[in-house]
Amino acid sequence: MQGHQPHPATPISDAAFLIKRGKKRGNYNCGRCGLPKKGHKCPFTTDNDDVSTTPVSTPAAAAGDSSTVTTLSSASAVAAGKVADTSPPSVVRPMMPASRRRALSFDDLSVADSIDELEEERFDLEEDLDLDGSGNLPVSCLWEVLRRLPPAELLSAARVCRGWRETTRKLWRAAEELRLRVPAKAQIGFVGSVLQKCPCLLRLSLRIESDVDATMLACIAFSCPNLQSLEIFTSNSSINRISGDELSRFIAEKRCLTSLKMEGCYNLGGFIFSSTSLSTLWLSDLHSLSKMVFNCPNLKEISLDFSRQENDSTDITTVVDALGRSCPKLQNIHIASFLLSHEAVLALSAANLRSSVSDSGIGMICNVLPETLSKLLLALCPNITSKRLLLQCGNLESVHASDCEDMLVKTIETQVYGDFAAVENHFPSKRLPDGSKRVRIPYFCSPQFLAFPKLLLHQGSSILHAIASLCRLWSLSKKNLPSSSAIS
Amino acid sequence: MVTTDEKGPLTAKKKSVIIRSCDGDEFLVSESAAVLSTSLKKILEEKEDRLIHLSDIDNKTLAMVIAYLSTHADDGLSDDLKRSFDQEFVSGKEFDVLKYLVLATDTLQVTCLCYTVAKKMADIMKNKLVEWVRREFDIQNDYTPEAEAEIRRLDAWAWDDRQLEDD
Repeated sequence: MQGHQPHPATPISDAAFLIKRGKKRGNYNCGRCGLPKKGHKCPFTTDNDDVSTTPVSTPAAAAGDSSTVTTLSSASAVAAGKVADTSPPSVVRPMMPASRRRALSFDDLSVADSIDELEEERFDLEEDLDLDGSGNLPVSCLWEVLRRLPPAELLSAARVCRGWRETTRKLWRAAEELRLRVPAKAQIGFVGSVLQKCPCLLRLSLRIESDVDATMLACIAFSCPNLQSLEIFTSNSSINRISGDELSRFIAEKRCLTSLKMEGCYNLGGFIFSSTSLSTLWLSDLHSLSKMVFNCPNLKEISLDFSRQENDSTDITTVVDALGRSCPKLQNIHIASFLLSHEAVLALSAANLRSSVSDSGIGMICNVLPETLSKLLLALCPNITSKRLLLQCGNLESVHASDCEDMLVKTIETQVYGDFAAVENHFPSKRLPDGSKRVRIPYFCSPQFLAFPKLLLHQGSSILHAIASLCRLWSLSKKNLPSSSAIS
Repeated sequence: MVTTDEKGPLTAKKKSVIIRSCDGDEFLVSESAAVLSTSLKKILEEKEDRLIHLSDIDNKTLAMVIAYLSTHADDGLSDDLKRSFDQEFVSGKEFDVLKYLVLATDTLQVTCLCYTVAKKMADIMKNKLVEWVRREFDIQNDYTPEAEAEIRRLDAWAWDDRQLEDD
């Protein structure tokens, strides 16, 4: 009975979709009122209406169903030059995959493509779709082709003929993820017109080349009621006028929002973020924030990237202190600012942050900063073990370990000097008065390991990303460098 | 282009099936390759007959699909090799050929090939004029000029001033 093979990346799930078995199955969103169909009873539904719905991808299911005879025929034939969907209404359909698909897991899209790629779920098409105009391809084939077009192309495809417009309309309606590039000349109203086509949108990524203000936020809030993830990238030429109050309101009202990433936050001024759903927050180009309040108990990841301007007046220490106290679930912290100081880091650790930076976290830091990472402080990280730790940073000068197990220190030693053991097997290391271990690494003239003096690890909880940013900024600007003696 | 097995179709009864195209030619396919097509798999599960007639797939297309199935049924090939085969498979093919291919994969329910071909088609369609699309798909424009202009007005914003191609 399984006429249709669901895509492997979209396992069948969600029993709520099993309400309509057989010939009638749940649309992803209601065809009448446009609301998501899951758990939804449409006031306009009459009992027989859904009988006509047929999955988009199952003309061949009809063929599969008729497989007791030797002849296998598809519902349509290019050769014959005509299209007719002959799916018998009695065919019991397999469930369409209802789970969400991750971006890019479907196609091997190039980086350029991914910028404005549209990702949709399969969903049912109505049988009475006008097929005559769909170019001699069954709707299922057309669907597979059109869903791989970028949004701008998909908009144009509607111009081909009415049949195509209908298919694209359904594609938009089924879209859960949209990556849209907004050219400089585009007006907000046009962006809104696109967003209104996709009421089921869960993830939205906008690359905006025009100026952006709160109207855009309002438009998104209005058009995408179930939005979970929002990314706003800005170009160098565009100005982001969104204020802290406006963004705070957006976050407070979007109760499904778990992830927010925004660039060009010059004009935030100050904000009070209150959300129980928000778990990831990335803000970049922050400047002179007067007030930063995080009332987000489930925040797991935060990245605050301050503008690299001398006149930034943000009180980082207070911010970091507040973060540590009000966001108990924080795992990843990335703060990049000229103002980041030893005090800010201490404020974070003083806030008694419990966290779970692990070996892979360190690996990530090393990957991100392979050239610039020159000092690494691992403090209060109980989840860093010796097993999977991998340090690969050419310019790593100093790693500071305190209260660490001997094994971890040994692992780091191996990682760091492994290649040079034959050349230099003398690694002075001594236990400091506070119980921390300092490993002093000899100076190498190797092109890869120019200098590697110190390694210092603490045992406890975590501030790894903050430290990584610190390291980067140290190497960017030496003037705010805490001296290494201050750390140890 | 008859590629019926030299050893005769009945010698490997358990392991192969014969697929006949709409042109009447027969292809001997190993069962491991055939079952990669969901439609064929269902047929093979339900009946003893090892001859399957495909009424709307021509020789050329069927040969390509079978080449694809055979490659993907080969356990000796790594996934990487199969992926590069996929890329090779669709590259350089005429749009028309791809169109027949995507139809055949739809009939035979060869999902991964369908996705590969559809992706290739979408790639070709990028930056193409609407008129090009209509011509390739043999579609009559059923819009009134006013209706088309209105749609054009609504989507024009998404485009930079880049040049669209007509061939």
